[in-house]
Amino acid sequence: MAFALLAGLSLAGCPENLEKQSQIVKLRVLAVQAEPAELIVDPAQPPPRTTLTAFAVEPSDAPIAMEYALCTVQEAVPPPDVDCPGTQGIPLQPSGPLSAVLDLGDPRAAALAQQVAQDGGFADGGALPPEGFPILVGFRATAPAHTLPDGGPPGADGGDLQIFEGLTTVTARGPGAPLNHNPAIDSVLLGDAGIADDGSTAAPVSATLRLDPVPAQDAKEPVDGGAEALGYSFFATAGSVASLRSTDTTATGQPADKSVDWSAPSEPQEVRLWVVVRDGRGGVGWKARSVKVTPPAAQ
Amino acid sequence: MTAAPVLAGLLVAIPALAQPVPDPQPEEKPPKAPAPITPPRPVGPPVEAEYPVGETNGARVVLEIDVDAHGQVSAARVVSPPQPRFDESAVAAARRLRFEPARRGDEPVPVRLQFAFNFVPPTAAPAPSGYQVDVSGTVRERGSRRRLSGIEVSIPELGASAVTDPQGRFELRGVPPGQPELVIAAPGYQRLAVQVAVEAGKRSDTSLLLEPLFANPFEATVEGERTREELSRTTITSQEIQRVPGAQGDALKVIEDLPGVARTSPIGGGLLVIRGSNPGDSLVYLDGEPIPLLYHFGAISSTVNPDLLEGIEFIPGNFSATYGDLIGGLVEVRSRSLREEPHGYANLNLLEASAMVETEVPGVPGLSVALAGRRSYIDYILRAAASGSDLTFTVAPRYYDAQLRLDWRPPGSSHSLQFIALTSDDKLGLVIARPIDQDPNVSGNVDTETGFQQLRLKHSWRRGPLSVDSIAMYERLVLRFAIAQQNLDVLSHDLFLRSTASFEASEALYLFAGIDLSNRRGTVSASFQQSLAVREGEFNNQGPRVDEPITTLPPTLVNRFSPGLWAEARIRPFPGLTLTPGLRFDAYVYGVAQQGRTTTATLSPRLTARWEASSAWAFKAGAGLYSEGARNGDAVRPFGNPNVLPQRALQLTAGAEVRPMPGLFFSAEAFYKKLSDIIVRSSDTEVVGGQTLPVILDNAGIGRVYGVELLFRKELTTRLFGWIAYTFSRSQRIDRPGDQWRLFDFDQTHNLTAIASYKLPRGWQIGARFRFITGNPETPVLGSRYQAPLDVYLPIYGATNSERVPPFSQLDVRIDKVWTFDAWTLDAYLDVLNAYNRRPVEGTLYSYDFGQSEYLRGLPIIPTLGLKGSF
Repeated sequence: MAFALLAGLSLAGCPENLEKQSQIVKLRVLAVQAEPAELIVDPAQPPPRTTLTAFAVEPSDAPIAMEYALCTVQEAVPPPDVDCPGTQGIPLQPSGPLSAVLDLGDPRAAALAQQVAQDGGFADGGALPPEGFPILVGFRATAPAHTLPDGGPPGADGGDLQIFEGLTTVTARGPGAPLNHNPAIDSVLLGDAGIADDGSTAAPVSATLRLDPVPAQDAKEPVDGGAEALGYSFFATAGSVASLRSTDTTATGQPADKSVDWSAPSEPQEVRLWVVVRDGRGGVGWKARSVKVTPPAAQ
Repeated sequence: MTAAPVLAGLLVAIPALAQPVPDPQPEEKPPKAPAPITPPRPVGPPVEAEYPVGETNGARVVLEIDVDAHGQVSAARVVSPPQPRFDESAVAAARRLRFEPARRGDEPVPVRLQFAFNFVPPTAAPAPSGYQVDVSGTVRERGSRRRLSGIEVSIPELGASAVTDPQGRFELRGVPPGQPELVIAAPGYQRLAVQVAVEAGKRSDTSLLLEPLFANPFEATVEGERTREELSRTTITSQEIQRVPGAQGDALKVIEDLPGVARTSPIGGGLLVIRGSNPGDSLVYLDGEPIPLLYHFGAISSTVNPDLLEGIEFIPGNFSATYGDLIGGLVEVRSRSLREEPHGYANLNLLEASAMVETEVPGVPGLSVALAGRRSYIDYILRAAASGSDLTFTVAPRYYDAQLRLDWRPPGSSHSLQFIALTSDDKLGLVIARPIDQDPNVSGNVDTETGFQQLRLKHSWRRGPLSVDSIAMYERLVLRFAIAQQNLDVLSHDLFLRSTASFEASEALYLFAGIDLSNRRGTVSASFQQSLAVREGEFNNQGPRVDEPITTLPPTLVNRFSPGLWAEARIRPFPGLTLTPGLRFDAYVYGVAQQGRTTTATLSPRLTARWEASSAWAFKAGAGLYSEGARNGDAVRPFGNPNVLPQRALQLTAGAEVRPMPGLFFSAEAFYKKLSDIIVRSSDTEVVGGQTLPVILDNAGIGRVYGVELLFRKELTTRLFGWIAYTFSRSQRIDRPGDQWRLFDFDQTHNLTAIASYKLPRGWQIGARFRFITGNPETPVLGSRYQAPLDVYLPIYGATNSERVPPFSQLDVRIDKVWTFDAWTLDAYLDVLNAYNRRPVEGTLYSYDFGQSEYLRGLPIIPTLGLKGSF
């Protein structure tokens, strides 16, 4: 039954009248990157640390503030309403406007990680198994709402503040397998040409063009005798992305087309585009670009 | 003087006095037909009615007689206008009639039928005995070619007449040469007058076709009242099912129009929810054994050809000890006896094509065979529609089913055999090129296959007051779902046996006992998220958690053995009162085949009482305990727990019925159901063999259901048929101790269904179905939290089922036009679902972050045009 329902959902897609995930009209966090992408706990080495950075976007470029916390609720399937950051979180030390550090050398973090490992039966004489366990981190992004063209949506408290809350995980594991690296996107093709860094690339109004991310050469790492499947997500401030996601390899192994169609808006304007890549093992990267949508005569 | 010599003198060559004849009041009763109930046949010497001394006129007395399951006439009432002395004689004669009992399938059943005695005055000239037969022939119904018995064929100018025998044959003697006019004026048929050429010394044989006044593409049956072993039983005949708008003639689709049955979304595949019980706690049986899959994709069609069915019997609760391993309600689908004459049809509509043929097997007396099949062609349509999209069909959705049936009843034997082979298969395969928005892990292959094959062998034996009915069944069940990296694979080989012995100790005491066992043994492998196996309380929005790890069960041999023993008595301590005490023992043995199994047992006493206070009024009440063992892997780790106990239910029902006049029926019932030991999810852990394991499932749930059901029904007559069903109910659950009562997923406070179908002249027939149902409960979403690793949003739910979607209302309309030809009929039909195009709300759709929502709407207006030819 549930399988049938899921199959139905996959065919049905999203309702047309509702805001789409690929449509950026308010403060959003599109991904959180941990660098390094995972924590290798080696009793012979100092406790590992990683820097978390949010890929936070806001269509009006309002200033965004981030806070992170190591969640004290560490369950395999965490409740989505966990108050973290908050009463169920241990604040992480900021390392930049959108970044913070998760340091297992921090006594509170170390104690929590040790407790989770023991509860989950992961720890064995201080060493973690190769597959490791996920460490849950909560984050909150805030930005003023009035900077949006229409005054923006009311904040969660009804005030003049956009609030975005989310959860991410960082895998802590024992040594053995090679360290996973975050994948990177070299460029994004619009049609047949790459989108310029300086925003000079133009597209005619209402045109439908192919968006094709080009991963870095080393983005696809070997895993389990094969290679990682890279999944992409596409976002835009205007126009319409035909599919939120693409992949170069389906979940059942078929090679797939990683490009998607983007239809330019019908009015000239500057459109910001974002592409996020994930390797399915905690590694994440992204690329931001902008395109000038111009009247046909200007082409 | 008796009537018989008089009739004989009128050249009636058969014992005409005891022939069933059509109802003289065509508005109330259709002509009789041999199918789907095999009608009773007169046995023994012809019964003669005394011609009243002193009378000089002819008379025709039509009686309504009740023939019980032993072929005895238990009651006779005059339904023709009063003719006191003739009536008295006819009733006295009728009580001497003996029949071979009517049968529903192989089971003798009591029926009520029309019966007539023709009285001819003694002044009529007796026919010269020894005259040869001059005119003979067969009378059939035009279109269906059914042989018509009890039809009077006359030659008015000679004052001669004869009545057709059960084979539709008649013979007239002493007809002088010439071209006399044969006349048939039978109720329900157009008057027929034809000239036949009669030559001296030669027999003139003719075939006569009677045109029905109201074209009926379906069989008409004089439906007798079945003995009411069950407290709450609603019987819908095949003829009625065929006329329900919106059901497309599908027996199983009619179920949701009955009182006590909740409407479930067709998106969910047509779940069966009876009196507030969980889907899966109610079952559909075909001739005593369950059908594993009721419908093809999306409840488009049922998996058993409706033309092979006699009808359905709906028992929403307090069912007898015959049935076990069930705490909800049940639907008993009964297949019909096969005809001896060739019959068949072909049906085409926009989605599927189907056909059926049946006939007797030449050279083997008593052996009949039927073959039916159906296949969809939506695969061709969807394959074209999907071209150019992100979907590529590897196996476009298609379904088929087929049935083979053999009936063998050797003439004169007390044994009968029936063999049925069923197959059904649905398959879908596609490749999703891009991950879906809701879950980036879902891409690639989606393959599903659901199907079953069943071989059923039924044997019946009866001698005197003792009878034994047994059915053995083998079933092969295939369930395969694979969506991306998650899959479930079940291949099961199941055996079923049901054997029932009944003994009529006296008029006041019937005894029944039986065995009812099933053994399901299959190989199961699974790899999916626990939350994907949605349970009651999670249907509404609480779908699978995309961040949940996948749980895996390697290929494992799983066994579920559930033998049941039962005994029941039907006691009539005094006329009108029937008490039915019963006791059932069920054992449940389940678990992984090679390892230790868990065995539990339940004892379930049941009692029902029915008091026929008068011919119009009846009162009824019942109480009983019911149990149901774990199903669908609930007892198999890691998706279930082998220590779960059977779920229990206490069912109470009380009600009244009234038949204010023939054909009208009104029933009111109140019910209460207490559910305990409901199998629910648990987040606890337990230590098993020194290992800490999640409990997954336990019996912490309880529930209560109560309500009132009303049914007002106009039974099938020549023209009008329909019913109004209304249910008021409340169904609630507590999932864990300390929780508050919450609404059941399909709790529907008000459920109203009104159905009417009317036959018009010249082959037209119109019908409509209107439904109004309280919207299903729904769990609100209060917010969401972004889950960055998967780029999805996790909903934050409010209280389970604390809101409702808007009510459902829908009007369905069906129009039939039937052309009747000599040897076949053609039915063109327009079945319009959702005629006023109010798309029902089936749930709520949310935007990606659950910040916006809109209703998920069901199907718009769907007109279906079809053609069905029958011979």
